[in-house]
Amino acid sequence: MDMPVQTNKSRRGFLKTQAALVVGFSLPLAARRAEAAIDPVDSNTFAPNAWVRITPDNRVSVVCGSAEMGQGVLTAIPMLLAEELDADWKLVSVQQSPVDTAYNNPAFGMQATGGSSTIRGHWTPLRTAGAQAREMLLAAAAAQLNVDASTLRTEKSHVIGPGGKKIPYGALVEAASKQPVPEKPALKSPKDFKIMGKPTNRLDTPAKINGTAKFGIDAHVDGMLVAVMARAPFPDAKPKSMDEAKAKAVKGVQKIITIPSGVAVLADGYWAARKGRDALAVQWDMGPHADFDSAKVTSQLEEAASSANAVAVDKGNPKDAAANATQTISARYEVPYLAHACMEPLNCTAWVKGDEVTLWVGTQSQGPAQGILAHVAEATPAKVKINTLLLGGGFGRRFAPDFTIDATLLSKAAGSPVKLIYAREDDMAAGYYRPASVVRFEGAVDDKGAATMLRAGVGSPSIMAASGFMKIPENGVDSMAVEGLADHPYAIPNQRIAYGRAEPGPQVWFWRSVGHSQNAFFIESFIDEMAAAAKADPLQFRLALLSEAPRHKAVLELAAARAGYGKPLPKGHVHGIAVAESFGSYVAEIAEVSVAADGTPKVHKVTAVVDCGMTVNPQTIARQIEGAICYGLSAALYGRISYKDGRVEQSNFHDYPVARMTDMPKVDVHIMPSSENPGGIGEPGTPPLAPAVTNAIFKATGVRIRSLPIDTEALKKKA
Amino acid sequence: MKAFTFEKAASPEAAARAAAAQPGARFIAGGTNLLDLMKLQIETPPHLIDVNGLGFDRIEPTDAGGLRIGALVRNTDLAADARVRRDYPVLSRALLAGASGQLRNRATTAGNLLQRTRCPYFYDTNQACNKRQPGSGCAALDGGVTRQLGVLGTSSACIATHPSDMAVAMRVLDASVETLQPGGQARRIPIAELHRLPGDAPQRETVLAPGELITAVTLPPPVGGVQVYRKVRDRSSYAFALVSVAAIVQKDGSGRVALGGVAPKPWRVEAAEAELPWGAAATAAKLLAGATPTHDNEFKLTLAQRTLAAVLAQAKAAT
Amino acid sequence: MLAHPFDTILAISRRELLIAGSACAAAATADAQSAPAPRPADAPPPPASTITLQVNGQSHRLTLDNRTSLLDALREHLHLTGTKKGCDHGQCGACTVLLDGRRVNSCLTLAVMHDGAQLTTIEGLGTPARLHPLQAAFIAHDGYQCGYCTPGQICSAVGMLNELRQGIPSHVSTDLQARPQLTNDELRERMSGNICRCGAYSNIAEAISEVAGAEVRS
Repeated sequence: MDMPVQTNKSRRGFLKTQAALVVGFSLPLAARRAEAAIDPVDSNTFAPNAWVRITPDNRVSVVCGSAEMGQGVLTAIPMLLAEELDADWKLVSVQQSPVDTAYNNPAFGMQATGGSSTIRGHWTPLRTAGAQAREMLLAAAAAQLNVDASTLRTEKSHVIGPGGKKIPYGALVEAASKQPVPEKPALKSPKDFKIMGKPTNRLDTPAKINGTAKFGIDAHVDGMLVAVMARAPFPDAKPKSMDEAKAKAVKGVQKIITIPSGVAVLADGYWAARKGRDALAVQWDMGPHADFDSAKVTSQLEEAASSANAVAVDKGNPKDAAANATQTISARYEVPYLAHACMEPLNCTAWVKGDEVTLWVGTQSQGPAQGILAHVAEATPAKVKINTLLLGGGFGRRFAPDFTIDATLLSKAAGSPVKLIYAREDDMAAGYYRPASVVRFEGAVDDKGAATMLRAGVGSPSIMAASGFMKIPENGVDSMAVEGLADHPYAIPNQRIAYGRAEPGPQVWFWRSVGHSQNAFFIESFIDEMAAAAKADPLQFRLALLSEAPRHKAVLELAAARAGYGKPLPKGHVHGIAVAESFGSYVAEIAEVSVAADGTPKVHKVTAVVDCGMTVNPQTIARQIEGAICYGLSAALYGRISYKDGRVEQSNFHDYPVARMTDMPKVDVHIMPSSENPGGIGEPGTPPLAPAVTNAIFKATGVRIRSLPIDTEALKKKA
Repeated sequence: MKAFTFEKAASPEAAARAAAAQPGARFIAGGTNLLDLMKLQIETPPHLIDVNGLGFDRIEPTDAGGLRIGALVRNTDLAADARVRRDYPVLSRALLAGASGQLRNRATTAGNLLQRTRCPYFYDTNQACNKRQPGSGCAALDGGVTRQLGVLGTSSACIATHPSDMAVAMRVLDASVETLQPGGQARRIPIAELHRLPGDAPQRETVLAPGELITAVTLPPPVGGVQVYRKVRDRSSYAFALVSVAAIVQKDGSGRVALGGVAPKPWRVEAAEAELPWGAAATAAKLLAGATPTHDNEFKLTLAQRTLAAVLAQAKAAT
Repeated sequence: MLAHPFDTILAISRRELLIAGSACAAAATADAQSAPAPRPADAPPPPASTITLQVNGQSHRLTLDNRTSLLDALREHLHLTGTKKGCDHGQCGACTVLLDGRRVNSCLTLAVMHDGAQLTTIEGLGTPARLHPLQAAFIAHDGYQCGYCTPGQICSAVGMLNELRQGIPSHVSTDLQARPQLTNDELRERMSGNICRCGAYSNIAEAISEVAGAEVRS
């Protein structure tokens, strides 16, 4: 169903963003000023566009519409602009924007952060914004000095005139504001970058190390009620009974409100709300889902994978190739649902007053939220204000509108501000998981050891259908279910890759690297299997197939060199490799792994090489790759959301373990120098990790891991 | 958490009397297990008696040449005590193998002994559990996942295990538990007798009477030997042992061994220890005799034997 | 096929928002601190206690429901939101504070048990003018990404370095009786009670190592 989003131009979907991120775009920069920004724009501010403000004290404030969840946008967005502005970085600060179409992510056509798209989307617009301001400052200085602008240059927030005369930008505020805004200012050549491409410390310090940084869960509004919900254990389950009297008897409980997703207890504080919710003891009518379990998920995915017929790739003649092959192999792979498990449990504070809605929340999708919440609250979209606070982890979970919708509905019903807080157990069971998926592979190699055929049938739920704003196209292929697999880089002449949709029931959603998170594991493991069938070294086998994928080839070769692939390793240590492109960036990872006698794998080191095109902040890139590796490691070793009797079995970090400091390998990240347009960086480090580790495990033990999380029982030494 | 009244006990006698006077009242010391259970409404004491101020926080030599460890000594301090590290290292190792630094800083000696099982069905209030609700059934035995659960000392009513690492070391060291009863009498309970097997009343986990307060745990004089604690962790449940082995091995190969993670109490069979010089297989045969594993947790028997073999090898290498 | 949740939500009408039970639906209070809704007449008086907490050098007298965790007392009653809630069950370490100099999970202890205790939270470590060495090291080594686990990591590291100074061994200490050194393995084991979902572990480790090394050198 269509999502009622207010945009001022046609909406671009995720598909387009993945195909080729638009570098040229049309954003009406001239005469564009944002309404009601954090700092008011007055006659003492030079603000030629929505993002930059320069004040007489020569400080530069950059307004950032993207959500900060640790991926460094609050630093990178200012860097893009400050570079072209020729600002003194020491004088640059950043502030979070309100929700406003001026801050639409050019990659999406709406104000939202995700898909590793912030740099790609803002690369040209933010640079243009900075260059605009610079040209206007130059024009103002030229007029003041009565010289031609071509005789002037800029450096560190100053215009430098003939004879070395320096005019700070702050002194030109009024004059620059009167200049016409150039539509197409000249942008720097990358070789002239002074700020971008250099490791730069974050701007969100010192708040994050002194306790003053405000996350959604820290919001406080006088008069607010805190809400804790009894949420349906399974989509469509309905409350059939509850003990209101017991809940009301809990000191501090004020209201009990039922909304479509469950029953909320509102109280003066968290504990009262929590205890009230527990005392309410809602009994659920599970309907047909009362006996839903993980076995049902697997069988439905199997069925879909076996009968997959929405064709994503159709090349050559796979049937003939299989018939004439020297050797065919087949394998079945499976991965479970995964929770995002952000460190900060989900929460949202909302205040509905008549036709106005105000939110205090860490959200990745302010733009869509404005439209959706206006609808649910029967408010005016322009009167939906969103105070974007810091996100204690997003990973895609905070792109979903569910928690903002519920907080808004509750505030409207309660007639007061409401702070909705999820306990960790609530967060874990609240759905919106990375889809479970099964793939059935067949491959063939010829007598020369070359790969001649690849067939794959994928069975999994559809994120496109679940998203609420995308539709599965006519050919039936959910691009997210097959991304990373359908667009793998290997030149195999005969291929058929098809998707079969299964909807076991749990709500699915975008999880860090989306379809790539499982599909890289699938394809990079199966390619490894084909290499083994061909009795070839996994690296050489891949390189021979990467003739049409030079960027994949380059990162893989460099990673092998840096890791010392093929050279002796400490006793019991082996290398496993994987390479994957996602969100415009190419990442190769080589894991150094050993397996203990009890079957426990230990990842000692990961060597990563990333080609993400031109870089903004190499420091952030290294952290994001390392962080994405850690996220992938948790999924490879431990992650599993399972169902029994219609309920999620996991509740907290004791039964949904995640990687701790003791699990973390040494990570060596190398960024490939490149003059290509930037690719994304938040997600691409995750997909190659699991297969690099499981390919190493195969090398160490001869056991092929075909499902995650890694089953150590299978790896125990039989002795 | 259900509401409760709260008092800080002024004296051990007052604490014991207050507990006996209020049915369902509980002592709270570190609270790291009790509060966890209270948040989940598995424990719902109407009254809490804070015993932290009672002064049982010293480790002192006993007249017999052993150590008396106050009930309220924090796990961190017990593990770090120079005498424990030197003379009872298996106790240090066991303590350090569990929880996290933050939790060890609060958890106490007595609290550690009295902590309750981590069986997932005990924890899930949607599931039948005879320990939580006597007579309601056992969801683990009734088609549940029993991989992490007990193989020895269990019953048809309950197959939960005791989660404490420290208790296993205490058992292999022949500790004794000193208590104060509500009537004012003191008594001494050998550690082997503190924890009950479930039988048909799994809700009764210890032999302590209502209101009986642990005041100290005593250790006999040190017996030397190479002391090892080895824990095989369950990968899907970060902190707790699938199987653990506490062993004290003397130069001549004789010694003692106790197992954790396999039973509702630390598992030690003194008769099996005569086999120690003959190796793990011989010892395990007697130590694990009478085991009643499920299909899911059968592997624990082999795992216990293998872990014991590794421990004995480690001990041998160290002598 | 299950109906899409958005369909359900967007199709609701005002009628479908139920407010269950009129007895307790007192008008929403304008001020969270004002009197709560009237309790049923025969309910016992709410169990509460009055305590004094010393937090970051300041004394606070609080009357609290006995059930209030130390974490919630800090966040909701003292509005010190630097200490974070991640799991509420002692598993993630985001709530770590220093209690009488020792690191503890504030979610797993009751505020009323700490009458008179000295607490240090992230807000009490260092000042804007003089950062605590660990705070400075976290900045220098980029020891965080989203920043949510950071207050707990820093407080835990302070406590951990104290424990190391006191010679307390760990699970990975090879010689139980020797004075422990902060090797890579020791550091990781001792900090394993603090989860970071952003995976900033190596930078956190570097920051802590630098401060530990400086302590050894000085």
